[in-house]
Amino acid sequence: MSLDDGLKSSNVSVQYTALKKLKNSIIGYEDVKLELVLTDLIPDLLNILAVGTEELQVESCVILASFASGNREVVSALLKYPVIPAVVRLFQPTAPNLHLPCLRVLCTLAKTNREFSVITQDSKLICTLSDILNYSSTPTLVVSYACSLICSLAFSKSSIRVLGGLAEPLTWQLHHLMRQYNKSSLSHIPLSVALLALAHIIPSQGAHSLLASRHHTSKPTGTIKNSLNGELFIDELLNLLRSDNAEIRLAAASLLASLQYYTTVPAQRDRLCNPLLPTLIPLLDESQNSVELFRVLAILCRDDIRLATLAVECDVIEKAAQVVFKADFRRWSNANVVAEALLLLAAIGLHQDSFRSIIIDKGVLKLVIKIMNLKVDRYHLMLRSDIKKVKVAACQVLRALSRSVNILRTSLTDVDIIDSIIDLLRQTPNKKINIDGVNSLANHESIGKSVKISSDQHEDDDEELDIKTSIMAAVCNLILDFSPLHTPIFEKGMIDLIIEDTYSSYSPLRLNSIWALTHAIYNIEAEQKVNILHKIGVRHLFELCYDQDIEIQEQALGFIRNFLCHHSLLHYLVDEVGADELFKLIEAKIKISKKHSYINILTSSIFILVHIATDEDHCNLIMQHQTILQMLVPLIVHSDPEVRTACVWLIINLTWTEVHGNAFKMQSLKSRAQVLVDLGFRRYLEERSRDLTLDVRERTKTALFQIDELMSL
Amino acid sequence: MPGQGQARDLPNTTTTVTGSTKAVNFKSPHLKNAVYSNEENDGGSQENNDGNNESNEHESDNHLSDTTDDDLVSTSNPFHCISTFLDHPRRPPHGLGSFLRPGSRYIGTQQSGRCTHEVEVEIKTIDPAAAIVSGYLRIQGLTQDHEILTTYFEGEIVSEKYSFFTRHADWGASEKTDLSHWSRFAPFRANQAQMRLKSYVHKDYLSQDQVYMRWKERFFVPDSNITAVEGASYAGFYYICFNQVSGNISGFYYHQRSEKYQQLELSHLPDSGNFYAIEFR
Repeated sequence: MSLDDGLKSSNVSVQYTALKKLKNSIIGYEDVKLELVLTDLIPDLLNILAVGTEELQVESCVILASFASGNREVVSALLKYPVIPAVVRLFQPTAPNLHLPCLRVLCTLAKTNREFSVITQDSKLICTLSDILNYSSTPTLVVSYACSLICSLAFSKSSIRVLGGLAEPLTWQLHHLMRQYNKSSLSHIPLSVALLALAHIIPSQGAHSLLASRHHTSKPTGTIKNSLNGELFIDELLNLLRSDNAEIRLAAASLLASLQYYTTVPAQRDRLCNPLLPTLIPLLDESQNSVELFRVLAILCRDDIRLATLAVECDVIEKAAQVVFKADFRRWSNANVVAEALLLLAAIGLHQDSFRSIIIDKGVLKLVIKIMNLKVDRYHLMLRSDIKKVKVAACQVLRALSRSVNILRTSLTDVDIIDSIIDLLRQTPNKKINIDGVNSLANHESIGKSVKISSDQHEDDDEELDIKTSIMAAVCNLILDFSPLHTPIFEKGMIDLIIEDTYSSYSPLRLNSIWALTHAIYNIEAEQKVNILHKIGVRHLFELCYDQDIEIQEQALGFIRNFLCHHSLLHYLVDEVGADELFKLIEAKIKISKKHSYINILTSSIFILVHIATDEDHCNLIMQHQTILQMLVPLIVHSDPEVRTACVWLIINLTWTEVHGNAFKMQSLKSRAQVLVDLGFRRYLEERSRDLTLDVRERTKTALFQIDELMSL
Repeated sequence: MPGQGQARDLPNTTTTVTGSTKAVNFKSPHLKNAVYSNEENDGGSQENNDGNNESNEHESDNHLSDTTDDDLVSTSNPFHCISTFLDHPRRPPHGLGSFLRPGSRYIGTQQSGRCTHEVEVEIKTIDPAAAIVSGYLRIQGLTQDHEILTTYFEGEIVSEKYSFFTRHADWGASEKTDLSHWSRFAPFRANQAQMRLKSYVHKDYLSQDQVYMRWKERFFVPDSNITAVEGASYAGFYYICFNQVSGNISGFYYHQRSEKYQQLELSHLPDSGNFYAIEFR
């Protein structure tokens, strides 16, 4: 009987024998796998998964796992069939015997296929994983595979969001594993993989829960003998940093690095972070091939300049740079490690010039530009994702280095950099926001909805836009007026490319693009500002002010603020949409900022008014919008000094008297001052004349003086 | 392994399904990130931000303080997505009051022997927390070949981070020259008894009328590769005293081989609160 007939047989024992035979013929034989995967064998296996007995299903999974561990051609052929949904369907809490075989298939495929994270959207999969983690009696091998799967799936925002739901059962499972490990009754593998899994998925709530709890974090169920004390849990993690096993030390450091990211208490951050570098840097000397090690170091260096300083003193820049220099850019064999090493350099370079200078002196910048320019040939299509990651990380290094006037003027002067950036921006086609049917500026909710829907639709494509997003972040710095590349950026037409990306469906790219434009109009001539405004369009700019992403709103308002800064250009903004629309926008932004304490939005909104008020003719426009003024009165005593400063400058500008003598004008100004007094500004300002912040105190004195002078007329 | 319906031996975690997303009910003391998801859903709790400034002045240490823009950092796990890896935490620069901000300009003179040169200073960046500042210094008529010379300078602000004593051996200043220059500023003389002490730490500089700095020119602008211009040198550095109340800047240039006590006097160019939004990405 042929293999095919055996698999299709209605006799279970015949099928079982055929499966055994098939298994023995492919394990370890890549050529046989390729030959068989190209026949009609896989549908037979999937049929057995759907309707076979549990025994047959187990065997089929073992065979599929073997195919999944084959070379790229085998995997590619395998995935032409709906293998993943078939296995996920089988992976149920009610079928524990199938957990391990299913997990083996899923883990093997997930490690090589990023697109695989889509399975996190299957709620049954999450339920089964939760179930597995909920039992201390679950075999440790199953726990290991479950955690390994979680690690492999946790790389996109959407998958992490879903997997975050597993943080609590995983925390408890981890607690259980740590106790077993401490009793020396457990190997290091399940514990290290569980530590990594939690490090990669723990959501802020979960982290805060652990960080804040001195007692148990879960309600008693009557079945538990113990309770989870967050402080003791962290103590145990810290103890693991002294483990004999390097994998455990690194995994514990990963989780502690995640937790420190969420803590808001400096003493607690010190407690979590202080032992980490002494643990991690020796590991760097032992092995420079750990993706996780570089990433944890990058997180720590990014989040804390003290740790970045220590890392620099321990020669981490040299060690990371060596990994990049030794990279094989032909075969891309260690692309992931190279990407993480670059990311570590970027994280260190984020902070200060002395670090950036060391990075540049090591020759990293030249290599970064080279990486940005590398073309992906057809032989490397399978590695495209890895190569892309290296390019993204290289762009991040450029971005970090460009955060300095000194470096911009001394090291980032080569116009070829702009050509490389333009190439990268042109390589990736844009995906535009769907704003069909959204023509009315008044219809703000619709704008928001359309952006959101569009974002969700394209989330799976987001990775394609990561290079653009990263390079655009560097452009935000390179475009500033003091950068020697500022003029070439304008001359080479990059502004049009940036504007195009403000329409992207990918919000991080939209954010960086509008950020770049806000910087593009920093400290430039009025004519250039107007030119850019015309290109972006007032309507689109206003749409960005109502974007779903609060940081995009902030930058769009920053654009308006910068547009009006030092130049009386208000009419260019209001000609198209009308002054009322602008003031409606400002009112809405102040309102929402007051409600949610969006300090940067609030500050920019008020400074837009300050800049409008520098033109005497426009002051009356502000005075006509008393609702806004009423909202501003209590902000004079806002907790943020920048907000108070902005409010006081508005009053200074509204009551500024350029020349005495014109009786009519002075009476008009007096009336304006009276309105401000009636609204309560003077009373609040008097309180601020004792402000703890020197600048607010001093500017308040000026504002009060001007009001009183007008009132005494 | 236990079958279906069997009691769990780890605490029963409560899962709630929202759309396709499951979230474990961790009891968070402060769900800071909710602001990011939907503007309309979690309002109402921040209204106290208006007012009561005095009590809020010391709020930064409060673990449970209100949500602010800075809290938007934690929308995803720190291991997530490298294209946004450097985005947070953000460190938005706030100026040093109204007079020392990116874009602030000063005009005045530098007295050099019998000559007086017009000087313009433009602040490019300032980081009050790191106590550093940078900008351009343009000087007119210093040499015949170059009517205007522009240099890029970096400044360190005397604070908890930088002492009154110059800690750069290559700048050529000694403790004696430090004190002789600082003493030329009247406000320094008023408090010099303690400020002259080596152990003195200049705390809370932001709240004081005078801000002391050292400005060191680094290179010429636009061409940073030019190392020497005949008749001009930036080998030394300036001792600076900035008055936060008036916006005036006084300074003395110091270099071992240059004429002593070349005086810099600058006034802030009024800008009516025209403050740009700028933040390195």
